[in-house]
Amino acid sequence: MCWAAVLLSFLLGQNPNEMDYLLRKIPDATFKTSDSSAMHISSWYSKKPVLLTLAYGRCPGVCNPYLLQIRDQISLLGSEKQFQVVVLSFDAEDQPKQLWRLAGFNENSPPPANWTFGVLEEDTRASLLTSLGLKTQMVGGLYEHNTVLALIGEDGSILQWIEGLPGTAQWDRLFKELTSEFVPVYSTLNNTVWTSCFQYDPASGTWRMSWGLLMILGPALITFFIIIILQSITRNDRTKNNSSILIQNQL
Amino acid sequence: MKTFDKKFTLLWLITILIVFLVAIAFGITMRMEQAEMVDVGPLNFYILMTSHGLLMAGVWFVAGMAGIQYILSRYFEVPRWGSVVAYACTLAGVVVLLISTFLTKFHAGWYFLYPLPFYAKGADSGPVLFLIAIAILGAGWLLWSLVLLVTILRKYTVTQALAWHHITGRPGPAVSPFILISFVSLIGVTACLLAAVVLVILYFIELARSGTMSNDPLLMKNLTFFFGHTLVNEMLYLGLAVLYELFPKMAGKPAYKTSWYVAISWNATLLIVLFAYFHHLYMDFAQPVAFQFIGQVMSWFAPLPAACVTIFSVLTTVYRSNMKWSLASLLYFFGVMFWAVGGVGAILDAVIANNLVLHNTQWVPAHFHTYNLLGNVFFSLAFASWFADEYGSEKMAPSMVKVIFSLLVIGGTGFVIAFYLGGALSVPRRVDMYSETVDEGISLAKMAVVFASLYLVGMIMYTVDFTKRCAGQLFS
Ligand code: HEM
Ligand SMILES: [Cu+2]
Repeated sequence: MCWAAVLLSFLLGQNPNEMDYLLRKIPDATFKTSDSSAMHISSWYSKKPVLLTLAYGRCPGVCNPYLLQIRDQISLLGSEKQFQVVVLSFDAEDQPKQLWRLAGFNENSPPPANWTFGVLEEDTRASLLTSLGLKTQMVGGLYEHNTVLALIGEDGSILQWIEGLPGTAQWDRLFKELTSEFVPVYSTLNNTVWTSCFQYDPASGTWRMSWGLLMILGPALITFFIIIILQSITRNDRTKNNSSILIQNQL
Repeated sequence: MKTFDKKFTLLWLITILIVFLVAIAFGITMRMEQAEMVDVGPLNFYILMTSHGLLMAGVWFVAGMAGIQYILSRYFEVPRWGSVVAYACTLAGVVVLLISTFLTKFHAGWYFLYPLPFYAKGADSGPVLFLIAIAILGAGWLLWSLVLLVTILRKYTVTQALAWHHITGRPGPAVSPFILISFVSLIGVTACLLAAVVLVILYFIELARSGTMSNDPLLMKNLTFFFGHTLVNEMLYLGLAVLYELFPKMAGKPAYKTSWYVAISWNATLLIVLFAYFHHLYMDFAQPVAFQFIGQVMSWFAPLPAACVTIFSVLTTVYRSNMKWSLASLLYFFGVMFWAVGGVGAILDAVIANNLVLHNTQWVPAHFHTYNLLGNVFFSLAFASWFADEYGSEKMAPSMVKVIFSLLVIGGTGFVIAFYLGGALSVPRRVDMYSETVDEGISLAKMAVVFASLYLVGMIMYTVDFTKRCAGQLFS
């Protein structure tokens, strides 16, 4: 199930219900890390943007490849100091250090300073999960769950929301948001809207004008042709009353 | 004069006056809500706002068209069915529109900017009914516009109707300013109604393929404003065409001739109007930058030819004339002056640097209410007054002229000044309640209610007087 959902959202390259989450605020949940008893998520996002994701240590499925991929992508980006990656476990039985393994860290190669691993405290866990759209279900002692990666802004609102493994275009968008780069065009629900004014190429981040833009001229052009057509179908009328053409103002 | 043309024009005018009274009542209710004198709630506010905006735009558009139809029928044989079909479509469209807003709670604003209609919709049938209303109105009016264009083209070629021979000095039939301006405006009307048709089709495609297709918001916004902005501009020009025909006569002067500068300015207007709408998209970063420049330049030029020539003509007409000031000539003269005031307000807002401050403040309703309520409406009321003086049972009593004219001017100016002040104080448009940061908006709304009520009283008196003098004709 878990995999199927991830695969599906990957194939679609798209988050159909992104709008349900964007710009909503997450609750300021508390979590335990290996070297602090309890801290608030806000202690991070109030300082810099937070890339927030949820996982659990015993996961036999997606959590491990998922976090590995996130780590790979982030290392491509380079500008690590500008944001914090926060990985939180929704499984109360987890120990923070257990989570390291999921992203390929261990005692010998511990995570860098911009990675934080923690275990969510009981009281705020459920509300955080709901606010992020993370769904879990206990099956035979293990959790079935979807994966969500969210970019949290300094006021705790969700700036980007990606369910499943992010596609190239989504990473691109995320990084641009992180580095405050100007994004003139976002791909919407369906990249191939035939009326698009622009075609956006997510891989290269470039866009070019498309014929939707020409449709703007449509009404004026059609009018032009209509007038020409009307002129030719009224030709006979005009020759008929050519003689009476001098108009008398009847006032 | 054929009785049918007279009677049908009368029917149009009476219908327009009645719908206008209803739409003013909606407007005053909105202002009362903003003044915290009544409590209709946000949903009802937006329902009223959507209905008010569309009724007003629609009513004064058809008023302009009815004027053109009537004057044109004094020149040529004009097919009647265009006007009749348009009348039927207008009634049907208005009924469906009011059902969509009041019963199914559609409330996306008068120009229904994409994708708002899919959200501000009340019931699911809301946007469907609303789009059906727009389709009925658009189709009927488009047909009417084409019928009138054909009527002109039966007599003149395109270049003659555009008075090009008046510019080049080549021989050709005399083309009156009325014909020229009507022709230019009808072309613009056709183009913007076609944009509405394309827009409605795109909406229906998206509705039909629910969820699997979404339109390009930038294209939709361009089409929307091509339609909305252009329609509102052209309907003013329709009123002006009639003014060019009637005003000199009222001043006891010879009819206006199409001089070379009149011809050039209206040909320029034909083009400029089609591009000025870009100024509605200054905030859209995805719009190609070149369009933004075009929008800026065209907005500066838009009012120049038509407005300057008209103001000049009207002033020289009045100067040293033996004008007998009737309600019609008063409304024409002051309508042109208020149109100029509103035009200045519009250009100020269309300067990109100013737009950063004024965008979506009450400055916007301030300027468009000026040239509508005190400009375009005055033109059409002037036509109606002239019509009633000409064909009604008697002329309007001079005391009545004074009272009605004062109520309209005092009420109208007070009402728009409240909007201008609101705009200057950054009071946002399109909200039903003002927060403490802009609570000046509340007192301004109260002031507007008082003045708008004066205008309403003036209009009620006007309508009663008009009906009294003319209704008999309808059934004779
Ligand atoms: C005394 C008469 C009138 C009153 C009391 C009135 C009142 C109002 C009010 C209160 C608003 C909402 C302003 C806001 O955004 O805060 C409004 C909007 C509007 N009015 Fe009027 N108005 C009057 C006449 C007219 C006329 C003559 C026209 C056009 C020919 C017109 C067209 C519009 C339009 C297009 C809107 C914008 C609706 C929207 O934002 O979707 N109004 N009016
Ligand atoms: Cu898992």
